[in-house]
Formats: sequence, structure tokens, C-alpha cells
Amino acid sequence: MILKKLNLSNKNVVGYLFLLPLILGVLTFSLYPIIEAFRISLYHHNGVRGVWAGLSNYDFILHDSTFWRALRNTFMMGIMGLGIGLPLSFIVASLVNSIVRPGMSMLFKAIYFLPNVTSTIAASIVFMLLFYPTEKGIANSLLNVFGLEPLGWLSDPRYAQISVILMDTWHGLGYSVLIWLAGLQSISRDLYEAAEVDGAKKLQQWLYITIPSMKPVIFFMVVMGTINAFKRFGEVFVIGGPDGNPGGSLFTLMLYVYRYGFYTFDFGKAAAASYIIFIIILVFTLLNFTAFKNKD
Amino acid sequence: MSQISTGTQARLQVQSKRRSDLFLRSFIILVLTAGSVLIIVPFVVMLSISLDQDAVFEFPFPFRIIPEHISLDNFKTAIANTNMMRLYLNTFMVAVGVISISTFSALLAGYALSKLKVAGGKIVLLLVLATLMIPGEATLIPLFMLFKKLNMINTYWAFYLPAISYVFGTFLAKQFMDSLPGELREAAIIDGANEFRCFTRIYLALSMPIVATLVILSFLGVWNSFLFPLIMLNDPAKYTIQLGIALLKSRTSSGEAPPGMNMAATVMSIVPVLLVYLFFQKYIIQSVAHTGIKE
Repeated sequence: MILKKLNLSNKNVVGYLFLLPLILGVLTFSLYPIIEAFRISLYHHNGVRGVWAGLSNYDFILHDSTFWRALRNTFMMGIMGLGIGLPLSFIVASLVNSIVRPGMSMLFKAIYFLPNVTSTIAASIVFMLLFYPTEKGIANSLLNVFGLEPLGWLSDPRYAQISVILMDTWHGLGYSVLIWLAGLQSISRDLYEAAEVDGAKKLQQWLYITIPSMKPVIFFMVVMGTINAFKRFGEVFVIGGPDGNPGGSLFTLMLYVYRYGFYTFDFGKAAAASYIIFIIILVFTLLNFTAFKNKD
Repeated sequence: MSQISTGTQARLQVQSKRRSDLFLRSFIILVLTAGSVLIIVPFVVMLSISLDQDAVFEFPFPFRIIPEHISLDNFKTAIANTNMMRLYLNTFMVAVGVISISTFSALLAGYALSKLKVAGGKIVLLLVLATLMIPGEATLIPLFMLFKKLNMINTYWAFYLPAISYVFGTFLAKQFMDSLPGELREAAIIDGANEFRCFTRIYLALSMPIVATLVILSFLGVWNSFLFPLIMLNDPAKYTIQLGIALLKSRTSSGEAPPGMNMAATVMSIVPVLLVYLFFQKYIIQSVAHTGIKE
């Protein structure tokens, strides 16, 4: 009854009632924990009790060689992922974009996006089998066809990172292709027609019109790729366990957080490490925002 | 004379251009088809080994796409060893709860922001969108401690409660509602309907395309999520599907599950998302294309 009266008199009250779950959820499950994460990072905390630690958790982490190795692994895999994924998805998107028949381009989009709806966990399990480290493995059988020696792939510390990246490229390619395509379709047709009149070849058009027009998309993809690289967890956990084996080559920052949080129950250090990841991600996100603003 | 020759020349040019265009197009289709094969191969291998009776204990060698002895034995062992039906049921329970709560919250909020135009709505939207910058990875530790305090570890409340805010969905819902006419609400209010009724009877009914998108996106999110359930659930009876198949590996002594069973379990874990993709790929692909700014 009261509600009804309010309905008639004040739509702001009803409006905020409708917004209540959203606001409550954001405050409780996003804003509060990010502040709380910082507070916990200042304690030696075992999940139940905490003792004031000041910045010593951060001090420990920044002097921990394991942390630096995790950072290096994370960073290297991020670079490799972008280095392979960006050009490859751009080429695929350009090719799909040049297809005239909408049915056929839709079919290719659907196929390339297919791995994306499956989980990284499922992908990891299948690729552990494809990359089976003996001559029995399917990838190694393929190498054998070309007269190459079998590789250790995911079980060789030298190749584990690149193998994971190959898998992630397979898994994420379709997503990037769709983003590129959205960008490609926003380029004005007039530009190409003008170039055609001037006698520019298709390849020249691609080099001098398409690629320069893609600058904002490239920036967006680099930033998103970097952010996602810092979140890398599921596949390295399934393939390498909590230690990111073989030889710790797959030990990423999120595994560092996970190990301190849920193996040694040192929540202070885990929170501090996750806060460092948060700050890195935040910097990249803000970079993205400013770039979008400049574009307008 | 010269006119004719330039005409023929032009025609010849057009012809050769057409021919080279045709060549280029076929080449492009060929390259994309080869790429598609590479994309499909892991699925084919997975399915092949899951159906291969000789893969029960070890890896079939040399690999063949069509197994010599096709059987469903691997699926039977997988169902028995992973408690697959339990995993399905658990994940569906999480999915149904999370999807209904998050979709409803997003639509309610989207309606308030779009059609009720509450005072300060723009600022609220902006602030809420800003929290997208907070990655779930950074809030895991405090959330774990919070749910532990609330005795909600190993319960699905740890999934349902955070679902009450679905920021990205709210953004999509608001945008969709913006495209619906506001006059419908005014007319209904004059006829004596209250706001909630306007929302459910009129705008919700008109919002089915965006409802579908939100439901599909959250389904994929819940079904594929791993880190959050890994933290919140440690009782195998409560595991969701990704935990079930991921930890299958570590449960065996050698750290390697038999390939046939492993692949069968993986096949079963992706069948639901593949079905969703098969029927609703248009929604999924559109939502990605429109929302590159996601996250």
C-alpha cells in the first residue's frame, strides 16, 4: 500500500527501489572487497586473525624472486599471445571482411568463434592430449611428417609457454576476429572507391587505408590482451598445477596469488599480490579510457 | 577506329580484372577453409578418442580419425568416475539461480535508468560502470573471507548473492530500453497501473531480444567459470562441471587420466554450450561485435 502511494507520488523513489539490487551488489561484492583487499594486504592474516604488518607483505613480495619470475612468465606469455594473436586475427578478419556473400562470411565467423564458447579448462585438457610429449602425440605425428623430431610441448619448460599460447590463440582467435570485423566495417567505403579510382591495388589499399584506420582497435586489443594476460589462471592451473610446471615455466601471477591464498593460507601476501595485479590492470584500463576519449 | 580499340581495351581490362578477382576470391576462401579445419581439428580429435574403445587405457597410436572399435565405454567410465550427472545438476542449479537473479536485476535497473529517468541516474550508471575496472581476480581473497564468515563456502549462495548486480547486463538493458517508446508507460500509468506492473507487463514483454542475450551470456559465463568456483567450493559433491573435469586429472595417481575417459568427460562438459551456440550463435556473435568495450 505504501509502495503504491509512492509509485503515484514519486517515480524517483520507485526508480531507486529498482536500482537497489544493482547498487547493493556493486557496493558489497565489488567496492567493499577491493577496499578490504587493501586492508588485508596490510596484515599478516591467516583467514581468521590478522596481525598488523604495515607494508611488509609488499616488501616481501617485491623482494621475492618467485614473484619476479611469475611476473616475467606472465609478461612473456602476454607478449607472445599478442604477437601471434593480433596479426593472425587481423588477417583472418580482413579475409572474412572481403567475402561478398553474407551467408559465407557468417559461416566463417561462426566457425572461428566456436572455440570461444568452450571453457579454457576443456581446451587445456584436449590440448594436453594433442601436445602429448612422445612420438605418439598428434602434434608430434604431424612434425614427424615433415621429418622433425618430436617436441615435449607442454612438458618441456622451453616450449610450455609457447604451447599454452598456441592453445590460447586457438581459443581466443574468434573473439579478436569479431572485434576487428566491427572495426573494419566502420571504415567508409568512399575511401576504397577513391583509392580504386587512383589505381591502388587491393594490397596497397589494405596497407594504406585499412591498417591506419585500425589504430584505435589495435590499441584496444593490445590493452585488453595485456589485461587478460595478467588474469591468466585456468589453463596454467590445469596444465601445470599450482606450481605452474614444468619447471615453473607456467607459474603466473594469479598462481602466485592462489598459492599464497589457498595453499599456505597467507591471505595478507595473497591480497598484496592481487592488489599489485589490480594496480597493473587499472593502469592499462585507464590508458584505454583516455585513448577512447582522444578518439572522440 | 581508335574509339573501338579503347572500348575493346577497356573490356579486356575488365575481363582480366574479373579473372584476377575470381582468383583472389577463391584463394581467400581456400585460406579461410584451411584455417577452419585447424579450428575444428581439436574437436574432432576429442570426439574421436572419446568414442575409441582402444583408448580406454592408453593413447591410440597411430592416431586415426575414425576409431577401429567405436563404443560408448569411455562415456560410461567417465559418468561413473566423475559423477557427471551430479556435475550437470550442480552447474544447472548455479546457472538457473545466477541467470534469473542477474537478468532480472539488470532489467529492473535498466528500466529505472532508461524509462523512469531517476534523478542522478546518469551519475549512478557512470559510477557503476566504473566498478567494471575492478577485476574479479583482485576481490577473491576478501570475498572468500566474507563468505566464510557467512558460512556460505560450499553453498551456492556464494554465486547467487553476487549475481544481484550485473553491471554489464544493466548497460545492455538500458541501451535496449532506450529504443522502446516511453508513451506506453505514460498511458498505462494514466490507466492506473503501477510502475512494477508497467515494467513486467509492458516493457519486459517487449524486451525479449535483450533478455535472450543476457540469459545466453550469463549461461556461458557460469558454465565456463573456473577460478571462482575453485575458491568457493571444496566439497566434491558441490563441484560445478569445470571443477569436476579439471580435478579429474589430479585425482589419478599418475596425474594423467586415461585418455578415453578424459575426452568423454570433456565432450560431455562442452555439449551444453555447443548446443546453446548452435541455436543462439546470432545473439552471441552480435553481442560480442557490439560490445567490444566489455570488461
